Amino acid sequence: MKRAFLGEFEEVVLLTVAILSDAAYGVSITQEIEQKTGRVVGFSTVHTTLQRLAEKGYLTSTMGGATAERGGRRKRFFTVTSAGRRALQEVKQVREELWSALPPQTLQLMGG
Amino acid sequence: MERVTSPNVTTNGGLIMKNQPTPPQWAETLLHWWGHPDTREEVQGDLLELYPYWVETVGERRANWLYSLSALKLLRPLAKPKLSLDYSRPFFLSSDMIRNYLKIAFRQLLRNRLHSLLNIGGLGIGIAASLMILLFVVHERTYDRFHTHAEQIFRVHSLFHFGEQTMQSDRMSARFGPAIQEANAGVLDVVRIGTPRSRVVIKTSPERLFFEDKFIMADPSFLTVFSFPLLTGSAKTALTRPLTVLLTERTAKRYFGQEDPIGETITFNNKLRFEVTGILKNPPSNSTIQFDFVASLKSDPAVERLREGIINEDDVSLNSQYIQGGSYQTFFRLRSPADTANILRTLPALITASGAKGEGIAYLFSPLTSVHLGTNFGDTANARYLTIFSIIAAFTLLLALINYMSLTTSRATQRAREVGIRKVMGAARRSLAGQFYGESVLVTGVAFGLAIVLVWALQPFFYQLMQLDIDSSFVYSTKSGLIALTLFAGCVLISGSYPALLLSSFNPVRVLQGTLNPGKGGITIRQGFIVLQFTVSVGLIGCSMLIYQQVQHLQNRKLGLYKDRMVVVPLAASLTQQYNSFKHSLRQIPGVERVAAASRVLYKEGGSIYFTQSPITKKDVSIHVLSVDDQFAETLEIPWKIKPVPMRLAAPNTVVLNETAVRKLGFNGNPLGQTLSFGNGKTEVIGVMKNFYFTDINDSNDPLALFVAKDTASIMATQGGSLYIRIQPGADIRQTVARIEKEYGTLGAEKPFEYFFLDDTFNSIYKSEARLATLFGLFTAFTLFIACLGLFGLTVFMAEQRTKEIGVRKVLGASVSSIVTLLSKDFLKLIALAILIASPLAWWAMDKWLQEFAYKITISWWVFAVAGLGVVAIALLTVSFQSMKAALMNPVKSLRNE
Repeated sequence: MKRAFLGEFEEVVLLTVAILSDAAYGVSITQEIEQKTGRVVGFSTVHTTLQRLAEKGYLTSTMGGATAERGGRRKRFFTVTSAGRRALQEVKQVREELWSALPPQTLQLMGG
Repeated sequence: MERVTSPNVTTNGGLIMKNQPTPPQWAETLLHWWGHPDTREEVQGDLLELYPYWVETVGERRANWLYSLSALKLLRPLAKPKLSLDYSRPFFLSSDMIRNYLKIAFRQLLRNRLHSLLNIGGLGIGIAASLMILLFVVHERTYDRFHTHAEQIFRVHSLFHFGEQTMQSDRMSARFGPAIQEANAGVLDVVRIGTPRSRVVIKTSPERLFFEDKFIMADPSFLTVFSFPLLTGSAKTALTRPLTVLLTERTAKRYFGQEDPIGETITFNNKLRFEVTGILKNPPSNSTIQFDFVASLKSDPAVERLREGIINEDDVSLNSQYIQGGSYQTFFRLRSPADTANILRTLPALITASGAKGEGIAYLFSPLTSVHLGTNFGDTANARYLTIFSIIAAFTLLLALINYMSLTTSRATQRAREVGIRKVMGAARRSLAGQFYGESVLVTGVAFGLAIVLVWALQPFFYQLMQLDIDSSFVYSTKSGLIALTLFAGCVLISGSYPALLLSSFNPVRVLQGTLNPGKGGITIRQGFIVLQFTVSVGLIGCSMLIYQQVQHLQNRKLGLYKDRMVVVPLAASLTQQYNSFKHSLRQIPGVERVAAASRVLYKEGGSIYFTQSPITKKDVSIHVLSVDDQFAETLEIPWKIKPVPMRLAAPNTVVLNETAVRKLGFNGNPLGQTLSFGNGKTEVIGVMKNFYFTDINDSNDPLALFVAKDTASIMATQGGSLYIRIQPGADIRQTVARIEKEYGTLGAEKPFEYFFLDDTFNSIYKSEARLATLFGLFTAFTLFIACLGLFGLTVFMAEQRTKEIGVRKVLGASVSSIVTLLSKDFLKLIALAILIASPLAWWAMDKWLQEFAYKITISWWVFAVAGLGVVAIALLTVSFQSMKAALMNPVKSLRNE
């Protein structure tokens, strides 16, 4: 099977969706990333990334019910698909392999 | 799914109140317009939710900035919505759907073969019939419109009173046209057309020798004013010299075959030689001016001298300086129609100046385009008949369309399920209507194709029946194409409308539950259709019976002479010396009963009219004259009122009158011995004949004077005459005519042998009435056939609908006859209603039509009774065939299924 490719930001977004589980939609994802990473992220960037991930098949979405606070507009909730989970697992595994391959003295030099 | 997401959001959401900052409107609008259609909703919602959060965390200014920036970044102006997987909305004209529609349409057509056949056949016949009539009507209505200057060409004719009669003439003196042109700047050109006014025989070689009746002589301007294109020869020099002639293509082919006729000569009545200077295209069939030969007008004096034996140059018609009636049809090309007023203003002065008398004569200028339908110069065209024909065409078409609609909607049961399922699957009413319209286009298209084939195949038959002559170039012109196209579009529009409306209206739930009986839908409308169809049918049957009666009445009227088995042979003047011997040898031919001679062929050739003053009343009376020989009265069995003394019959300077002439001249009871003047010299009345019918004008019973003379002394000696040969009863007419022809051959005559049957020439007077009768008969058959097709289709459907009911009835003991009655009763009621509506309408219409005949039938009630009964009988036959079938069906079969 082809190895999944995830960009760094894509990985962050995908992870955030996984964290928020049932409550993952545009606003909550943006705010969660801001809070967890301290990075200022544009909403449009998040939105575009979500679309891209959905196109790659790592995310699916369903429309929620109407809410008054958004002028009656519905939210689009995202959930991670199994392909998405596998991709996250692979990325994690690659990272861990890389970390474990690091010689101990280098690790020490880095202050780890 | 709805869930509270994060505490931040909820607090902020709760904070949205009045006087809260709002996001920039323009960004929202932009997003609304150009955001990605698939995600527009949640993006707008998310931004709206984020905005208060931004206001709180980074301030309003920065929030506005962030909001606008995000909105701008999310604009996707070119994005198209992707097909959503859960709610697909296919374009209703997508190729898949069209393929499906076509497939269903063809399956429907094939499954109900009988129904499709009735449908397409009925529609095809209806379209074919109306297409043919339309072709004819348009041909008549476009008469003379092909001339480039059609709107500028005017013809003059005169109206004058003679005695108590109003006469009209379209022939003017030679000076008439040119004088008017010189006096009026508005006259661009003048054309005078003369005719030889006697029989014409043209010869190029002993084998090529024909009677010609389309020989005209015209000014050179003939080629510029009218649009008769010259194929070879020069328009400038053609028709300028005397004794030159232009031939039409067909004539050139007839006389010269493939040879080039330019410079060749043709011989006119065995005396004059014309040089051929050019070839004209054949005149279109919708031209009033018809010709095979166009000679230069300067040839007229030569022709006139030959005819009249005039020697003096001044007596020639073409040199006449008077402005009055004369020998030439005169056409003007005017700058504008308004110029006729000027011409009429200056005309009286011109007439007086020329020395002619102008009182009592009215000159009228009428546009050439109105001549064909506007005046009655012996033409069979009649604008009113054209209207009647158009109405018949419209009726036929309407009936065919109605038939189609009622047949289609009656099959609604079969389509109801389909409509229900389609609707459940998401078809909109509009797309269903489109589908059924499409099916109508398909069926109408096939029917139209059938119609074109029918028209093409029946054309010669139709022309012959209607005694028509329509150029094939007209039939295949763009104009005809347009007519056909319009007709097609109209048919599609009407035929599709009602089925599309009805079928697409079904409620899917009720259809699929089975609580809606779609066949019941529009039952009143279908009944209305039946009533309408049969009203038209009954009306047309009544009308055509009456028209046929009237035509028969006219043709079988007592003519006062014997017209059956009478062969008329025109003879040339050159045979004068041989008349007697020829007559004698004719009498020897087996089968010939009697032979007589007269100056003209009755009912075919126009006669001469003389004006004479009554010695008693001193009034001018116009009298038709006819020269006959002493055998005439006996051969044609015309009875005498006062038989002349045998000695005096055929003596010089004597005349025989008919009863009308005696009455008009005021000779009360005793005309014998009176003298009358016809031209030169006095003639004495020596006998009176009973009235007999002699003119080719409808319904006239005019005064007639017969000059009875020996052959050689009569007018026949100079102008030729005709022999009336009565064939013995029982003799083979064809053989006898062949023998006469053989005998004629021995004369060595210059003129070819030609003959007419007197009853044919008589019947041809009523050409337009006979045409109307034929057309009515034909279309009555059409409409009745179409109506029966519709009725048949409906009965089939009704019987199908009531299969169960019939089964139950039979089980309970109903007889076959009671079931047939049950099924037929409803239809008969409708037809009875149709008869009630149609009869008075037809009565009224026919009464109006009969008003214009002096000699007419009275409308009798039984005509409508017969028409009604006939229709009932035919309808009953149609219905009972199917209802018998239904009634004879085994109830076990019909009740067991389902």
